[in-house]
Amino acid sequence: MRSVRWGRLAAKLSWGVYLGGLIATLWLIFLLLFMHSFFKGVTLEFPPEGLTFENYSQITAQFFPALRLSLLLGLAAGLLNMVLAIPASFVLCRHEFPGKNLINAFLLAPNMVPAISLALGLLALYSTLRLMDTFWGLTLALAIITMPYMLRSVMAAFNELDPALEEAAWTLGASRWRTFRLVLLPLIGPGVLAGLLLSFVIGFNEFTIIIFLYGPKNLPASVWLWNMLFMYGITPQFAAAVAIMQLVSFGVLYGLVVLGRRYLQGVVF
Amino acid sequence: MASVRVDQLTKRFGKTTAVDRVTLEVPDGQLITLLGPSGCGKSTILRCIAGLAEPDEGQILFGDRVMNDVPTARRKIGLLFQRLALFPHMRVADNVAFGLRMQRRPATEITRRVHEGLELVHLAGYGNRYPRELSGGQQQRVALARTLVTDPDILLFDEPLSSLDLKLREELKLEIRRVHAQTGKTTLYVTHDQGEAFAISDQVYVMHEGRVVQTGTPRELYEHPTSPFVAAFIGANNFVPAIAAVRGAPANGATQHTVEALGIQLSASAPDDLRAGEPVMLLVRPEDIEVQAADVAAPAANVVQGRITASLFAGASTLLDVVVGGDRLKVAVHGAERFQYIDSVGRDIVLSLGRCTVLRTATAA
Repeated sequence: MRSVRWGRLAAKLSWGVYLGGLIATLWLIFLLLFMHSFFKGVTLEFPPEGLTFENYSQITAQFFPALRLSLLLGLAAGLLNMVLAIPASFVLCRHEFPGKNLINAFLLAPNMVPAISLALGLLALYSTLRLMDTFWGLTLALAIITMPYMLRSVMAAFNELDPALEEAAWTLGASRWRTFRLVLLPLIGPGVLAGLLLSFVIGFNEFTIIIFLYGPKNLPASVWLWNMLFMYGITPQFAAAVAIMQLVSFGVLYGLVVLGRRYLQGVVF
Repeated sequence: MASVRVDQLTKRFGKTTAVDRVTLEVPDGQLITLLGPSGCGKSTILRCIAGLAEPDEGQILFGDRVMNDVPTARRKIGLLFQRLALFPHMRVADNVAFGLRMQRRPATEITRRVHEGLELVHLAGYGNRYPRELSGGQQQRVALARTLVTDPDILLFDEPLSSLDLKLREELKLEIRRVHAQTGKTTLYVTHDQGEAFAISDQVYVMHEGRVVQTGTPRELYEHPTSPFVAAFIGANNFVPAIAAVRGAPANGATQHTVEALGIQLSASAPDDLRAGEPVMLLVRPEDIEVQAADVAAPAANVVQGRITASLFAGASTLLDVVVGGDRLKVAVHGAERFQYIDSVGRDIVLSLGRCTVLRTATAA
């Protein structure tokens, strides 16, 4: 029997090594950049002159406004999605009507279309509507590309709901609105949150669409990084800014895994 | 007056007619049961009364008021679902208080009524728990309290005991009956379980394929089924082809007829206008067939001899399959002697047939 115990231990070790190796490979680039953010100096050299936190404090003045904007954009896009997706899901999940499948396809498609075509379309539209380089213009664009995720998450939550719960509320005298507010909304809450987190993190990191629509008044973090890279190449300061972006994203995604897995089956998970 | 009347109610789903011109009435304060197999339309009728489904034809009346266009939330009903429909994100007390909140009653009154409601169903003190922490039976009791505290005019039960195990069903049957006696509310109860229907109600409507096929007290349905469906659905029954013989004298309000079946002459209660020579169906229940001592002469009036081909010990009775000539009879042996027949395949047996009923074979269509 001791051989069985050793066998099991060996198996666990092998799996541990395999998973650890897989994560290390996937994250190699990020890990390298993260390491470099602590190196002294202006250019990237290996081995480094020394280790420091300076890089982080040096970029604060310039990077943080851009970072702040990206955080706000992600949040605004998520909230806009939420407000639009909840009533839409309600109708799509509860009612049958002609053309439903077509409408479903349209709503879920924006992120299946090539980013460039979407960006150029928005560019043309925004120029006319004078939405270029505006906070809400950028928010709208981000909302458009993340809406499918929010919709899928909220619809998954809706479909989980037992229709008997609504019916029970009606028999107890609740109007449609009060049923929605007191019974449906709390129960789809987790699904909404999952959609919100995902919309946020995608909007926070979005680049391809943003690059066409931004301007000097609204410079998000992703574009700021691009400019940095273009002008100075890869520096420890650059690595520091990237590391901050990654930490925010990772934190949100971790929250997503913990809270929202059920509602994003097949979409993200 | 809180009576319910359904008039020529018809409901179709696509090409299927789920409810076909049904008329029934629940008098004020009574408990009426709709009994029938799955798909017979009973739940659909209930949902139409609740306002959760719209009838294609016919009217729904509470008292004198036509309710067809009144939304569910304003019908002042209480509905107990088959699937537990407690709000999972609210505590028990909040669940029970929900209807009262909708009625915008003052907070002190709500607290008091919730407490009374939970006491009524023997769940005082459970207010702070969440539904998921309760057993199925407890959850249904909370649901019952939730519907009662709002003081609805009419109570509707949609097979509320189906999802519970046997012991719980027994308990809750008594509970529902007690609550009805205590509150005196007009109640319509829907179930496919004949035992439940009989235990709870005074008047039963039996439904089959969208129509009401017979209505009566449990005893009337048991003793005098008017169709093979009801005869088979209520309890167990033996169906034996027979020929009507001589018409006898009225006795006990029913006419006794002599029929020929199983190779003997039998006395059975039958429709008045039966003609001699008419082919009919003889009904006799397994529990109305008695085992006789082996030396009793057979065949004789209402006594036959046969051979046991199968036996099943069911605890309170032993069920036998007996071949008599070309016919088969199911027999339920009760009492002490049931133990003697547990492994009795192949034995000869003498049976005395008790209460028999006759149905026309025309109704067998």
